[in-house]
Amino acid sequence: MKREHDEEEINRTMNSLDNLQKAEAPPFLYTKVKARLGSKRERQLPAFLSMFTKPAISFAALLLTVVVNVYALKTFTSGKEQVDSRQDAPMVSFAKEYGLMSYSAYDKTN
Amino acid sequence: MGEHELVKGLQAGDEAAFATLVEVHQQLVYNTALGMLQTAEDAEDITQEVFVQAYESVGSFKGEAKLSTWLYRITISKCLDRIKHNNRKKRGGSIMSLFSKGGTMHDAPDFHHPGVAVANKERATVLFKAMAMLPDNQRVAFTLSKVEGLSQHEIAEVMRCTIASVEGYMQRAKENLRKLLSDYYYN
Repeated sequence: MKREHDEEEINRTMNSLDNLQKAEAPPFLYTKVKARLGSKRERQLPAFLSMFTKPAISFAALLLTVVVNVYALKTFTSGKEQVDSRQDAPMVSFAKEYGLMSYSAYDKTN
Repeated sequence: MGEHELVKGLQAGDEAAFATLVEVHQQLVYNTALGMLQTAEDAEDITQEVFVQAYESVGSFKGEAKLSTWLYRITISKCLDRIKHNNRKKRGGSIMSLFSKGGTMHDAPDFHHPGVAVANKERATVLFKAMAMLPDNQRVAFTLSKVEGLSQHEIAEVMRCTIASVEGYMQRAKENLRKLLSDYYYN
């Protein structure tokens, strides 16, 4: 008896959506869709920038930046040493000419 | 405007054609989303997204199915994505959630569909909770059948499967729902 009652209750629940009426769509839907389309167009990147949203291209660009920076740093530091030594040469010859070279104590004693 | 002319107008970017598409099909899209997502807010959001996607991708619509079938497919796809997203948010991405069985019917919020007869309101609320616990295919088939009133042939077109598959989904959905309802009411 109880089991039949339980089954009846479940059957009624299973059938509770019979003759379901349609819900009304929200008002001004077309206006809202057009607004969403408009704001989506505004947010879109120009075509040449949008390619950087692809992970492979972003990673390649990052790697290229790092390589270029490392190369530039190496070139700058080795170039600086050359420039320093070249800048020293006229100074050294000037100092020699006017006897302005300072010698170490070891040089003096010898 | 016949469907063929409507599609031609949409593909030509005609505003009047798009306005007609929204006006004619908004109730279909909204009611499907409402039945799947069970909140008016999410259903409205998805409805707007469906028409935005329809506008953007109508160029690829080949006319092998009806416009309504095409819109049902977009709606169902977006609803399933939204459900996955909402479930991920609820779980909070915690490691423990990987081992948990997920929510129960008692945890699910109450949803009162505005189109349900007053006498059936409480039972319908319980049924919607049970529907939310079904696997995706069963949930889709049952929703399209009970909420949208589609035939098995129409459901098969939307789900891109055979009528036999739809029969299988419906059979399993009903079995699972009865089990869930039995546990909910009597355990």
